Amino acid sequence: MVYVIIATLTILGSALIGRSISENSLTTYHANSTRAFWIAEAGLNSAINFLSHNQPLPGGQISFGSGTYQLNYSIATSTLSSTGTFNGVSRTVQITVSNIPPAFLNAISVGHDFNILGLLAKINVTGNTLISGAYKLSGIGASATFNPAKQTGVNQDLTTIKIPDYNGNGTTDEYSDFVQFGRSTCQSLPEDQVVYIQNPTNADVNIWPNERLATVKVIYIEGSAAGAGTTNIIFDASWRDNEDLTVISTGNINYLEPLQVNQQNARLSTISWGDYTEGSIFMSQHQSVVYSHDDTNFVNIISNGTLTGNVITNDNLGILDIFVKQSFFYSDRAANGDLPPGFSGLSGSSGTIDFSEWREGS
Amino acid sequence: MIKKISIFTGSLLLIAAAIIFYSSRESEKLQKELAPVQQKEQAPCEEARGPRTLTPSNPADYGITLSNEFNAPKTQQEWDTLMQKKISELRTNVPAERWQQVQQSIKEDPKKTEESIKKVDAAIEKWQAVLKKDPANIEAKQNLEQLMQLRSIGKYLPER
Repeated sequence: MVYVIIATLTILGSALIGRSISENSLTTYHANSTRAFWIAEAGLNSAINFLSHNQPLPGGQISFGSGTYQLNYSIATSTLSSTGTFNGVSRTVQITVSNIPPAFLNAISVGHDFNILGLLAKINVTGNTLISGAYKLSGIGASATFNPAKQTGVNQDLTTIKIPDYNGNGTTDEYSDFVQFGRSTCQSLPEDQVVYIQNPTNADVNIWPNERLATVKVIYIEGSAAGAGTTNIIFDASWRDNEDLTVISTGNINYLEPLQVNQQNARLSTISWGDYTEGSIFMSQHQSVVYSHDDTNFVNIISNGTLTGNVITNDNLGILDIFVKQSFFYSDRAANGDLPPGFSGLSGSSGTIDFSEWREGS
Repeated sequence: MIKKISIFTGSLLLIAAAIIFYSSRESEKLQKELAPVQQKEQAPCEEARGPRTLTPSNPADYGITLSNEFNAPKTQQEWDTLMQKKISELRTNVPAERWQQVQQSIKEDPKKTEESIKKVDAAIEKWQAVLKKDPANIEAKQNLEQLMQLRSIGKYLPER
C-alpha cells in the first residue's frame, strides 16, 4: 500500500515537473523568438538606410548583439527581407521597395526638345519643367509661363523613363521589354481589374465611358508592331469617382476631349510606346500621369485644356498649331508613392526609393 | 482500513490523471499563444507560383470598339454618324446627374461653340490642302482625323 502511495505521489510530482519544464521551454522559445523579431527589424531598418543612400546591401549573416540577421533584396518581386536569428530561432520581416523615377518630381519632363509653335498658342506650367534638349517658342502670339522657371540641357536620367529589361536579355528600353512590361502588369493584377486586348492587325481602338470600366485598373492594348495603331480615349473611361485607371498601348494614344467631371479622386493615366496626343474643342480637364516613349503633342486644343499630374515624354514635346491654350499643374501623388496602376513596373533600379507594405514573411 | 486506503489511493491517481490531462491541454494552448505570428494570408512566393495565365478580354464587354482600314470612319459624315450614335448611347447609359455635370462642364455661349467649329473647319481645310499636295503626309492624316473627331464632338456632345 505504501508503494502505491509513493508511486502515485511520484506520478503527481512528475506531472508537475513536466508542466514546469514545458512552460519554461515555451517561454524560452518565446523570448528567443521576440529577440529574433527585433533583430530582423533592426536588419530591415539598416537595409532601408543602405538602399536610401544607393549603397549595396551587406551579404551573409551580420552580427547584431547576441544574434544575427541576413538581408535579401529581390528586384523581381520588389521585396526586401530581413531574417533575424537568435539562439536558433528565426523570424523574417519584409517590405516592398519601389523606385520612383525622378521624372515624377516634375510637372513636365522632356527627353529631347520642347516646341511651342503656332498662332495664339499659350501655355502655363505650375511645377518643375525639365528639358534635356532645347526649348523653342515660335509663331504669332505664342507665349508660355513657367513657375518655377524651366531648365534646359538637363541630364536625361532626370527627364526620361527607360523600360526595364523585362525580357532578360541584358538590354533595357527595347520594344520587346515594353510588350513584356504590359503583360507583367496585367498578370500582377486580379483578372477583374484588367482588360487585355490583343490587336494583331493594329486596328484603332476606341475607349468610351463605360460602367464596366469602373473597377478596371489597367487596359493594355498589345499590337503587333512598335508604335502601330492608335488607341482613342474619348472623354473618360468610367466617369466614376475614385477612378484610377492606366491605359497602356504598344501604339499611339489619342485622348479626345478629356472630361473628368466632378469626379472625386479620379485619375486616368497613359503609357504609350508611340506618341501621345491630346485635343479638345470644349474646355477639357483631367488628372493624369502621361508617359510616352516617343513624342507628346498637345494639338488642336480649340478651347482650354488643363492637365493635373505629370507629363513625361522620352522624345519631343509639342504644343502645336493654332488656338492651343493649355495649363499644366503638378501633382505630387506619384512622387509620394501613389503611382498610377502599372507605373511601378517602370521604376527600374534608380530613382527615389519608396518603402511600403511592411509584413512578416516566411 | 484497506478499503479507506484504496479509496485514498484511487483519488490520488484520479487527481494525478486530471493534473496530467489539464497540464497537456494548457501546454497546447500556451504553445499556440506563443507561436510566432504568422501572416494570415501568406501569398506563396510569386516566383514559385508563376505568373497567372493572361487571357485576352472581349473588348465589346467593356464598350470598347475596334476599327480597321476597312470599317474606320474616313469622312466627316462617317465620323458624325459614329459620334452621334455613341453619344446617344452614353446619354442613356450614364446616370442622369453625371450627364448633367458633363453638360455643365462644356457649357458655353452657343456663339462660342459656333466659332470653335469654324476654327476646326478652317484647320480641316488647311490639312486637307496639305494632304492633297502630299498624300503620304502622316502628320496631316493624324491631324485631319483628330479634327474631324473633334468637329463631330462639337456638333453632338452639347444638348441643344
